Amino acid sequence: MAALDTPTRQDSAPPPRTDGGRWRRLLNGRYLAMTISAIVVAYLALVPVCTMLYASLQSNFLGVGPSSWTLGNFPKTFTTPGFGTLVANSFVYAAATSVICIAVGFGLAWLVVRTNTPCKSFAQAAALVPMIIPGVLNTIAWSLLLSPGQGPLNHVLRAVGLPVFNVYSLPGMVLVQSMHVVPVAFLMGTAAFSAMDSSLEEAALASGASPVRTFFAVTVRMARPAILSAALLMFIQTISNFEVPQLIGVPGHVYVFVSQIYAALQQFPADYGEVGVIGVFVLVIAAVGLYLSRRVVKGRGIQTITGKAFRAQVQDLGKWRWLGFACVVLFFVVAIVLPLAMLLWSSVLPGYESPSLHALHDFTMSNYSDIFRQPSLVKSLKNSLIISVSAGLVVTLLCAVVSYITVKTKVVGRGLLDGLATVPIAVPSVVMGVGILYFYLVAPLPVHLYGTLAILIVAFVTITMPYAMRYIVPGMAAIKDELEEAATSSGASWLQSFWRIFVPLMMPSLLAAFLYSMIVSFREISAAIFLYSSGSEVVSVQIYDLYRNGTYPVLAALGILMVIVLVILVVLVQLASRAVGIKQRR
Amino acid sequence: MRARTVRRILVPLSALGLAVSVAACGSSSASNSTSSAIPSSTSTADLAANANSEGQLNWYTTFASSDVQPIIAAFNKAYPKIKVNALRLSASQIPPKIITEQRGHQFTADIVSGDSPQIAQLIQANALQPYTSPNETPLPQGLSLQAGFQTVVYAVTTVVAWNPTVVKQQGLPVPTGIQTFTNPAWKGKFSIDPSAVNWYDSLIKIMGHQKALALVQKLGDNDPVLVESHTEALTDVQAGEPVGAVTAYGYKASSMEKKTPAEVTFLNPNPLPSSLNLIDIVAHAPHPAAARVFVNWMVSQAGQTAVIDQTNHTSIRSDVTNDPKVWDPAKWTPTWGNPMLPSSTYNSELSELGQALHAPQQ
Repeated sequence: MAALDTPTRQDSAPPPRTDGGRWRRLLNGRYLAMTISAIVVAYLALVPVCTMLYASLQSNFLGVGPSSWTLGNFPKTFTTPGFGTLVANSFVYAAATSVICIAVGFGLAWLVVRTNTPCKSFAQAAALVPMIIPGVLNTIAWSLLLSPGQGPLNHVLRAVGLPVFNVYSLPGMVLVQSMHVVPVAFLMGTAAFSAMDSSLEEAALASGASPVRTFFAVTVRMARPAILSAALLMFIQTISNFEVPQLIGVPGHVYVFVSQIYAALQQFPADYGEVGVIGVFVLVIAAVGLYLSRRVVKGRGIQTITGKAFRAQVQDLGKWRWLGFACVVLFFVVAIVLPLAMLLWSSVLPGYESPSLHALHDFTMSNYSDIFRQPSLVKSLKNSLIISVSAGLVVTLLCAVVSYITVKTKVVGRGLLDGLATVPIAVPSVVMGVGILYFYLVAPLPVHLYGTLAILIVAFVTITMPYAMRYIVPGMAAIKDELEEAATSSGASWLQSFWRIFVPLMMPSLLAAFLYSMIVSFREISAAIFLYSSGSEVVSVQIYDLYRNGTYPVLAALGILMVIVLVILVVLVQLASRAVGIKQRR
Repeated sequence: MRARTVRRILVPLSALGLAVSVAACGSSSASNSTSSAIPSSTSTADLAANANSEGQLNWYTTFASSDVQPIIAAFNKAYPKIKVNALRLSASQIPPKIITEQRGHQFTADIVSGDSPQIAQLIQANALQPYTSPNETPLPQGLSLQAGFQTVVYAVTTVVAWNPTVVKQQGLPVPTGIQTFTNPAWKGKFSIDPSAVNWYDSLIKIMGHQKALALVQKLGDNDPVLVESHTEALTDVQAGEPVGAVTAYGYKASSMEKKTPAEVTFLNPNPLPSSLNLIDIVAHAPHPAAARVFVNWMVSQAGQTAVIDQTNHTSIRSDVTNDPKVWDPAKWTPTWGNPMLPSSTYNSELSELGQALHAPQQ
């Protein structure tokens, strides 16, 4: 691995050309960490992608009869009636969701990080909670709130003379998905705005630029790499999302890629060829998007963290700060209070009834006690906790090292490594689940993971890796090279400088990556549904099962418990990170 | 310099190669198959002793999570030394799960219980082993199953259901059968499950193929809300939207009607579309004796009583009391779809139904 490295500033002194020197260099902590991380990333990324490609080129993948190589799945899929509509719907759905999420998520992040909007801690917590609500629950809650006939919100709209909003439509899908994905943009925005030195903005203001012009000419420009990165992530994440297309799109006859994938899986034997082709199609779209976003931001990334002390200056909004606060409250009510209230309401009734005082006569807490009477539900909560925390830790550590390789070194192949770390985002989770299941069953591996929690951890590390990279890379890019150079010239080892310089400075990014990975792992369903076994059930799959079985009140109760557990976890992580942060700064 | 450049290219490739090697190397430890050959002449006492020594079994089932534990508890009253590890799966998940596991030589499941089309798919894939339980009861008239695969857990009926409060509020025609939902007044106000092949196959048997297709096409043109399962359809009805459901399970509708009569009521069409849920032993079951003991118990009077008491499903045994609102062949003639539907027929009916209802193309 040492030979991979083009000398950077810290590598400029050539090592002594002796065998002992070479081995010492090879066993250097930096190279060991980099090599191991590169191998793990390559392995994680290639397994699902290769399986997807293989499936797309097989006549009977995972079928009971013989299978042969074929290109026939491609024309068959592309000429399926309605495929054009499928593509158009998918693009409109994902693009509209991305735009809304960028506007709302980055707007909230800016208010929280860069302005004196009141109650910022509350705003920060409020922006994260929608991510904690599992996708299935969020989708069900919104479908009840906005169902055209009985939805309470539509009753309100009717009462004030406004037209009814039908949630079972493309705009409905965009709305529900946006409410769910905004926290991704918020977290990325927070990381980007926190890592920015505000001296450029101060200079602009001092030069007479108006606050609005400063915002667009300086702040937005500095945040542009993060905005593009977030937009791309949300676009692909939305295209791969399972819950909204299945629970809102299909009932309303609005079909996107995932609907088609799910339909192909209903046949017997399941048409994995078509599943693979759609997966490859999404992969190509993502690759093109990634390439274009890189072209746009190439050379425009701005290093703003220097050796000098700095802090992101807070902009005084004057009386407008109350408007900012109103925006936060509005978001809090729409994205959190309404869906959670719907879940809470459903969880205290024996069967679902529209909100009314009369329905409260049936008030019961038995749905909560029912959870504890079902050992599989309790076990699934425990499993989800173990899996999500493990996956979060592994992926954060892995991505921290990989982002160092891709941002701070000139290693040949770093672009490929970055690409590989991004690849899983383009594999729909349903396909990812099938691919991982197949690989770990069929490949002659020395360690047998099928049926264990480990296979779920592998899946979630793979799924969340691209997102964690997007959180960590901007943080890493913002740290000027002079800090590491200073540490190296002062005799610090790579591990020491990584731990003492990069980790503390990147704490917001690392924390964001960990939280995101942990939460996604806790709530992810579409891959988990293929990978769980007896004893390794996870709570998201149990919730989906309850939904399909019509056990709606218990589902709502379990969802409320799940949200409480996640909130506790997030608070604990925040507290722990503050403690670590203070220690590092001493 | 050139050698160094070559090294720079080769080493990352080697790293990737190593990753692939890690994946490819190692011994095949996937197989944990054990022999499942038990002489058919084994006495009940010997079978129970063998089952006790095996100590556990793995059961893949479509029973709802809330029903699984009480059923296991009832089984454990009779067989306390056999631990049952249940894995709840949807009907469509069962065939790919078991077949994929078997392709990977991972023989985990001992028993599978699920809807007859999915069990038929497993039989066709040679993923199950034949077993004739001494407790089996004769199949209902007009039904036949392959020898060795005739153990029935329960029968299930598909009914039409609606929310009586909302029907009254909106002045909709009260359903008198499936055809009611083709009425323009019901446009966009009812749901249907586009994967309900069981139901569609029964409908074909009742009406003939052309008439059945014409009916579902009319339903499709009346803008139905598409749902994933029959039980989900009932939850929606209870919530008041969609107001009605063409494909609802009778046992569930009856249970929900008892709890919330103002929100759910139902009607059994006559003839009544009916299908079976079967239980079978998986090929290469790791706990073959325990599997047989469990199957024997499940189809026995005690097992069936436990199942019916817990779930309100319908037993085909004559010595078990069923919910009279769900099952009374004197009032509603059950019409069975083909429980051993060939894969090609299953796929063509699934596709036909999906197209008629304007569901995603399958």
